[in-house]
Parts: sequence; structure tokens; C-alpha cells
Amino acid sequence: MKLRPYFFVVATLAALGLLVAPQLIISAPREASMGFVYKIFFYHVPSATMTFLGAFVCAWGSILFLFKKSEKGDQLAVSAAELTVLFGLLTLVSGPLWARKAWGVWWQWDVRLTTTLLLWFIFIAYLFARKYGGPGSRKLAAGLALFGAADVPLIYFSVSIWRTIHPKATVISNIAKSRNGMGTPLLVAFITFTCLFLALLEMRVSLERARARVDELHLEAEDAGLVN
Amino acid sequence: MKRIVQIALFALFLCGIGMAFAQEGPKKDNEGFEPVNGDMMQPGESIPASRLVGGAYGFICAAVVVWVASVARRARRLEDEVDELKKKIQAR
Repeated sequence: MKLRPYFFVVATLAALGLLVAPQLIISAPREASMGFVYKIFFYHVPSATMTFLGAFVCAWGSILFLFKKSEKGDQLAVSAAELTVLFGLLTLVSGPLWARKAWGVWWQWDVRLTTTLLLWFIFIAYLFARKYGGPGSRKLAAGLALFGAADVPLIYFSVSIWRTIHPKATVISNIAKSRNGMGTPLLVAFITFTCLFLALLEMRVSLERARARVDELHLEAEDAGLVN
Repeated sequence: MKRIVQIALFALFLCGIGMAFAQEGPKKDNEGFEPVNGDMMQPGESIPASRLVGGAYGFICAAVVVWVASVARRARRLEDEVDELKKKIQAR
């Protein structure tokens, strides 16, 4: 598995961020209405953002595969789909832990929560289709990825369109602009998660590249009559 | 392959550090906000907030480590496959 040089840069930045971020988050002031539990926010929001990023990267790779028959696009798509499921899981677990304290319930069939769960299921379906779908499943999965990416704007704007108990998107910009020590941990958490996402994506893409090379070797060996 | 195992171990180490920090209280409040102390239990609450925050961070770190380990396992399988292929070719 060959990793490209940029992996080591982003992995180092992610590691540094993971060292620094908890310290900054712990020393951030307590939010007036939610108290200590709001600190889940500093990892919950970047996790959700990386879920969306993963869905878009997967859709981009799927477009390249569907319309340009790009194998690299397909490798990128399957790698990003796995990360969408991973970061989606982090969002769907950290969110209810926060909700339990803030709303008094673990889960609410709120529009944002439901559409996020739907996004996660779409990408689970993508991975299942790839694994068990047989011939032609790559195209089917690519189509699913496009549907998944179409769900992202719906999730983002759901809090503005429908009445919901989930905080609106403006909360993030208000915290980022705030001068009370909440902005810096949020920024560091975002940078850390972005670097982590890029590092994990490179790891996963390099695995797909290695797999493609092994498949080629198998075919070459079979053609040459070296193996059965 | 060794590098991936090293990264996984490093991530586990970071997870431990994160959990340690999560259990610490704040050092100072200098902008008029109420300092965080103890479990921040409100009257009538049953689950301490610090447990939920620690649980969320712990889960995030653990899930990333498990995923990295899963990629490493798949990479190892692939390497085994290449070795097997090489042996077959050399045997001919």
C-alpha cells in the first residue's frame, strides 16, 4: 500500500490537532443554557461536515466513473462512501448523546435527524450494493451516491425550511465569530477533522489502488498461463 | 504495513490522551463564564454531562481506530494475496 507524500502532512496535522483540540475544548467557557454537554458540539459539527464532504466526494467520483468511465473516480467514490458511513456514524452517535441532555430525549424524528439517518442508510446501501450486487453493481452504486449527495442540501436547509428543534446553521457562524473563547476550539476541531478526513481518504484510496494492481496481476498471470 | 499499525497505535494513544483531558476540569475562566466543575448536574438530572461528553469523544476515537485497523487488515490480506501469486509464478 503506497501512500502519497501529502498523507504524512495531513496525518501529522490531524495528530497535532487531536492533541491540542481536547485541551482547547475543555478550557472553552460553559454555554449558558446547555452547560457542559454543549462541548460535544466541537466534534459533532465537524463530524457532520465531513459526512457531507464524503458524500460530495463520493458523488464526484461516481460522476467521473459513470460519464468518463474513470477507474480512479470509482476508487475515490468507494473510499469516500466508506468515510461517509464512518463520519455519519460519529454524527449519529454524538448527536443523541448531546440531545439526551439538551432535549431530554435520545432521538427525535426531527427533519434534520431523519434526513441525516437517511443519508447514512443510502451510503450503507452503496457499500452493500458494491459488495453483494454482482456485475453492474458499480454503476448502480454510483447512481445511489448521486441520490445520497442530493440529500445533503436537504439536510443543511431543513432547519430553515421546516420547524425543527435542531439548532439552526447560524449557530455555528455565531460561535465562530464569538469572542468568548468558543471560536478557536471550533476552528481547530474543523481543521483537525478535515486533515483526518484527507488522511483516511488517502489510506483508503491507496488500498483500492493496490487492489486494482493485484487484480491486474491476477489477469496477467492467467493470460500467461502461469496460474489457473 | 508496519506504518499503518504504528498509526493505529498512535491513534489509540491520542484517544487515551483525549479521554484524560475530557476528565479534567477547566483551568480558568477569564471572560465571566461560569467555570466547569464536577459533573455539572442540574437538579433532577440523572446522567452526568461529563459522562455523555466523554462517551462521545471516546466513541469518536474508538471508531476511527477500528476503521484504521480494518483498512490495515484488508491491506495485509492483499499483501498475502500478492505473496501467494508470486510463489505460484516462481513455482512455474
